[in-house]
Amino acid sequence: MSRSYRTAEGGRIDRSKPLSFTFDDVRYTGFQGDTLASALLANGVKLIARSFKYHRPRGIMSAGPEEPCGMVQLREGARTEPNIRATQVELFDGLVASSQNRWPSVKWDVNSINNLFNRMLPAGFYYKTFMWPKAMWMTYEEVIRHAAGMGRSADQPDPDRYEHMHAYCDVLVAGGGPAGLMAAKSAADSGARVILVDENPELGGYLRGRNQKVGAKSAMDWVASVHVELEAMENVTILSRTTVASYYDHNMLVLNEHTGDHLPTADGWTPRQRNWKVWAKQVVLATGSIERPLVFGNNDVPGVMLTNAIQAYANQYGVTPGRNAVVFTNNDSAYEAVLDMHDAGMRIAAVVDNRTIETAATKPVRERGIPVFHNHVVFNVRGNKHGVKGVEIMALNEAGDHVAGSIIKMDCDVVGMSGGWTPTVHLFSQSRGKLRWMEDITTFVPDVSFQQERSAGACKATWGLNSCLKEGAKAGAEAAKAAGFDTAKPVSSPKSSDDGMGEIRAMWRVPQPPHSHLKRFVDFQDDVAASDVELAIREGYTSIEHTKRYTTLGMGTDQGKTSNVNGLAIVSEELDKPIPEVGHTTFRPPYTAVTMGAITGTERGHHFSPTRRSALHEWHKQAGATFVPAGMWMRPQYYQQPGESMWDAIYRETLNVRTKVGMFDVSPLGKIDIQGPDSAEFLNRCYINGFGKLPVGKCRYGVMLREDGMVFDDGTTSRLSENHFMMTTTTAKAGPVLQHLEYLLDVIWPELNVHVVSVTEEWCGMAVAGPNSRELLARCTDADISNEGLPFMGVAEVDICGVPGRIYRISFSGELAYEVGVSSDWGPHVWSTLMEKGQDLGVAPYGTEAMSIMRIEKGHVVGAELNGRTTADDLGFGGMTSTKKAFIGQRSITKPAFLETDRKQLTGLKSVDGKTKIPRGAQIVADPKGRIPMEQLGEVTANCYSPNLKEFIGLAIVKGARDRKGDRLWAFSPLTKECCEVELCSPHMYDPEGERLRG
Amino acid sequence: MVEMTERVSALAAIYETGTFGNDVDGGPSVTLHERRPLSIVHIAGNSDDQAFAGGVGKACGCALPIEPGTIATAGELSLIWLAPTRWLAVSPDQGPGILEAALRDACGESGAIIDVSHGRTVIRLSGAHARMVMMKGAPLDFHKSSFTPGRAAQSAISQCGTLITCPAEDTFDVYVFRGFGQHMWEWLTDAAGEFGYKVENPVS
Amino acid sequence: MLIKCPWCGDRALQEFSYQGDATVARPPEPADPADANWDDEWYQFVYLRDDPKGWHDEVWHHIQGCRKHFKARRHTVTHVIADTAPMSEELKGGDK
Repeated sequence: MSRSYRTAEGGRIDRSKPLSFTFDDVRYTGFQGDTLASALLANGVKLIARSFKYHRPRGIMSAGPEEPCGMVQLREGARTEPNIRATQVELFDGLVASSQNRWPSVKWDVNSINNLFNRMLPAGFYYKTFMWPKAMWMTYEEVIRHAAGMGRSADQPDPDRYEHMHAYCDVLVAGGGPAGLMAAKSAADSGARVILVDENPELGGYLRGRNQKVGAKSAMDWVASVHVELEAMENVTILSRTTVASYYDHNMLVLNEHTGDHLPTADGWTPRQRNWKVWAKQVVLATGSIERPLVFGNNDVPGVMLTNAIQAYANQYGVTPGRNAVVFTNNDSAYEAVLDMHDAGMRIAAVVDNRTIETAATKPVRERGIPVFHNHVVFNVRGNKHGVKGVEIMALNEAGDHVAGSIIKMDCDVVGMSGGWTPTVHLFSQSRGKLRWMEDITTFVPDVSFQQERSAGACKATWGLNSCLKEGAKAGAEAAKAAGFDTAKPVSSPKSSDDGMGEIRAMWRVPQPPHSHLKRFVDFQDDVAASDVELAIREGYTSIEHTKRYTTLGMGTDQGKTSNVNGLAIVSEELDKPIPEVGHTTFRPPYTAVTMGAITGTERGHHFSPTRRSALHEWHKQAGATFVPAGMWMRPQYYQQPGESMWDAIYRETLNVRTKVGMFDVSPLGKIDIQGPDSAEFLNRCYINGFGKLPVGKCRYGVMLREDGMVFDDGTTSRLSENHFMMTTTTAKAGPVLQHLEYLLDVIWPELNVHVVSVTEEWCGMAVAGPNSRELLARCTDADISNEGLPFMGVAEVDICGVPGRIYRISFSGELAYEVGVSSDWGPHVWSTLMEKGQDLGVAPYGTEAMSIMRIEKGHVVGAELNGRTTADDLGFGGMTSTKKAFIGQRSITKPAFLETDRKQLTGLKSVDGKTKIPRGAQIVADPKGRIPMEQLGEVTANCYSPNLKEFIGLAIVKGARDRKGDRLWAFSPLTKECCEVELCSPHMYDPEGERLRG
Repeated sequence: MVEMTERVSALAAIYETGTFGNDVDGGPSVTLHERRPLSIVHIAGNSDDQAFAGGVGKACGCALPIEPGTIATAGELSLIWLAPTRWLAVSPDQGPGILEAALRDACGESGAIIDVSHGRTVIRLSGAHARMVMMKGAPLDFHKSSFTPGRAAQSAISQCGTLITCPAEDTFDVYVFRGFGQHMWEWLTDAAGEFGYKVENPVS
Repeated sequence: MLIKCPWCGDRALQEFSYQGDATVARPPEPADPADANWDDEWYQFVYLRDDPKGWHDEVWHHIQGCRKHFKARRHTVTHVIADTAPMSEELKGGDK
């Protein structure tokens, strides 16, 4: 096992840079330039994972993103990640990986017993077995998840950094193979802005794994020279290690850039991955093609690989995945691979070709003395978890539908399979392009484009290097031209050879001898065998979308890159319907899995959502405030003093306002500046009450409805001059109200000459509330703020603490109160000065909790009552509603349902026994012991202990409450089982006549 | 008296000059500073209304920019297009209400003029990688050939509405509501960390 | 998606906010507001919207850009936007 499978020389690895890594706790060595897959193969490690359902041993099957089997758990601790394709992991020093989906070890896997009982696990097994009784599903699920599991995710926060990028370009080229390079070059030469995206660390696409020539140069030398050329151009951006994950509407593509995945750990500042959103005028898809497996017995034994993968490991990584190979093909492309494998020192036991006629490709293979069996198939692989031991070969009968003659047994340790090539049409299909079936090469190809894109090269079933180069150049030029670069023309490409895959002999299921029940896998990742597809069809799942879901064919993380065509071809055969009629399943983004981190980008931790801070934020912090989020704002909730409990602080703050003077930061309230000759008319149409006659220097409380008649928002609006108003909104609705006003002015009443703009952040607002508030303000301004000089609901422009500002005589607390507004940068100065000057008056800050208690005491409505289901009348504003003018929502409130007397209305609540608190969010019911479900009469919207009234009070929305004052009902919380008998009362529980605030 | 009261920046508590982020060859390639103190006035009106357009032109010393996403300048004052009927006049602090009053006087009854000097935090980024930092944040086309000096655009960075201008090559001003100032500063410096960044003293 | 604001040009979807069906007009106020009883016209306006498959005229708000409302003719299946225009202008294109 420990003998090296590394060739003596060759490959695009740096043999002077050995790298140490561990797989399942065993230490191995690879080289710079290896992938984890190539390094494991070089070390003779064949068993990588256990399969999903049957826990069969699996190894590496491919050398690229199509890998369905060789998936590992990569890294450890917080950085560990499951389901990582070993074929795409660049080796770094110290890499740690482990096999997944095994217990206790990949070599001794308990669940591999599933394989022995595999007849009990047919398609749809889980659906059939575990769907009843329903109550047991949770139990089953746990066991199934443990048994099935596809690796495990980290249980700690991801320590890496992720970012988003945004870019625009004229031409985006997806794929850095020969067609993509030529496309990029042609487009860039015209002056177009080009983004070239390639998923590998090195450009070149499939050329990296071949020994081909472009013109006189080795292909990879040519690639390097093009790379240098493109990199030097200002209008070209090359993104390597980047996958075009998704193709969305309007030519927007999402790219997933692996900026740090090839490093042991990214440094603290460099992101591990970046998700790019790119808006491209034109797109060239040059995404290549993927070799198809053949469906024969035990084709999943570790060591059965795609032929081009063996070739790529030999050429690119200097690794021979085995010493003695059998190659099974139905087309010409495998012959080139056989030559490269042979040149790399592998013994080729035989080439098995299901075609009857010998082609030109056979000749050089025979010349090397390699036996070629035509009209034969490999129908079975012998082997186990240690890998392939040999194959069993038989001839085909004349019709080609049965095997015939005697079995040829042949020893080997690796099997190459080549079932033809599938163009990578994922992105084309995601872009809504229509596919067309090409019977001669048995594959779907791009047909009708929907968006601004074109395909070039192998992804369009153009085989052969020369043709790909030419087609790429042409596509690049066409794309640039379509993007407005009229002079664009294809750059000339060096003359190169043009081998194709020749004629293909489709054989979707390789026949097996009579009475054999060998598992022939179609989807290796999801353990779907040909027999599962057959069963699904027999059971009536004849639509390809249903077959897919029933069997899980193509539903793994590889999205069926190697299995889709084989699967639907088998469906077609079973249904005896041509493939185009069977259709294909939808290709969905992303092309390869994208980590949640990359999707999230920077929006996590304290950047999950922006934090909005008032100008007084630092003062609150210094004063020991506990903050509470209100939308994006952070508001002081209460200011705890030494020795105080939270409630001590809240009650102290409340009492201080009612007896002395308190200050509250009201900066987050929305403020909208309204100007223009039609401003008063506009406000009249927005509010239920009139604003036309509001005198200059006065403010008025207003209520706005939605068109459906429900209350939208409330606030006070001041008239600063004839045509200049300032509206305030609730903190939560500041944005929506501005948008609402803009909508009305843009869409409904464009004839009104009114300008609205948010000035929320211009003003630092402070409520100064309490019996001593007038005295405090008088110490800080020369303006007349007496009851006569500034009566209730008055507003004055003043100098305060040496800066210009406004004082509004408004009160939310119910006390004699003012709101001071100054420009934000002066806020801290004014606030601190007021605090200083009011010390002997007992001034203290109060937070949202104290404010909340006082608003409950006063019965003021906030968000909990403005819940989108309450009308102005429900909330007690019926009397405010004008009947003399039209306003938004007015025509709705005459609807009969709005006039019913048992609508849920705002009410105050008092705890009847005076000791029991009213449960939060409780239901109001007549009898908590009544039969369930009982009639819900209403709900508690707010509750508190009132330190002023010295009792438990609350607000609620209750059916017909206005006529039920004094009634006793129950507030019952089904969540907490708390229950409290409540008496309905006026919501104005404290100073109902409002004498204090007018004093 | 008014002049004696200093304006407190939204960034006051966190502003620190120096060099931060990755230690990169050649030193930091992004420089940030807050632009302050500024006079900023929001101007709304109909550009076809001669009294309005002429008044703004007279008060600012430059004509209203009519083409979307452009900026007109007169000395240190910029007049930034925001919308077909909205502009922002920005200049180094002229004193409380001075620029607003000048505009109001010049426009008479036309248009809507409102001082928002204290309502914005303005962060300037410059340097070779400033463009990359912007690309991380906003879904705009920041390509050298597209977002050229004299251009302005409104968009969002990290969910915050922003006005972004390009006053000079590789230089960007990011305007956000004052309350988002600290968040935006933290976000931008975080995004610049990869390139190494330098914070300089605020200047208008 | 990329939406062409009539003023700012092509901008990313995330800068915009959908504001409803542009084919529905708010009924004019009746001459006497006191007589404005519930009627079918109002009911249609407040509650009923078509859900067309195909071209649809919509109101969009460039909320994180210039904050102007405008009209867009969008295909509800393919998301293709045939045209955008200021509220005061007519939309062109599509099959309409």
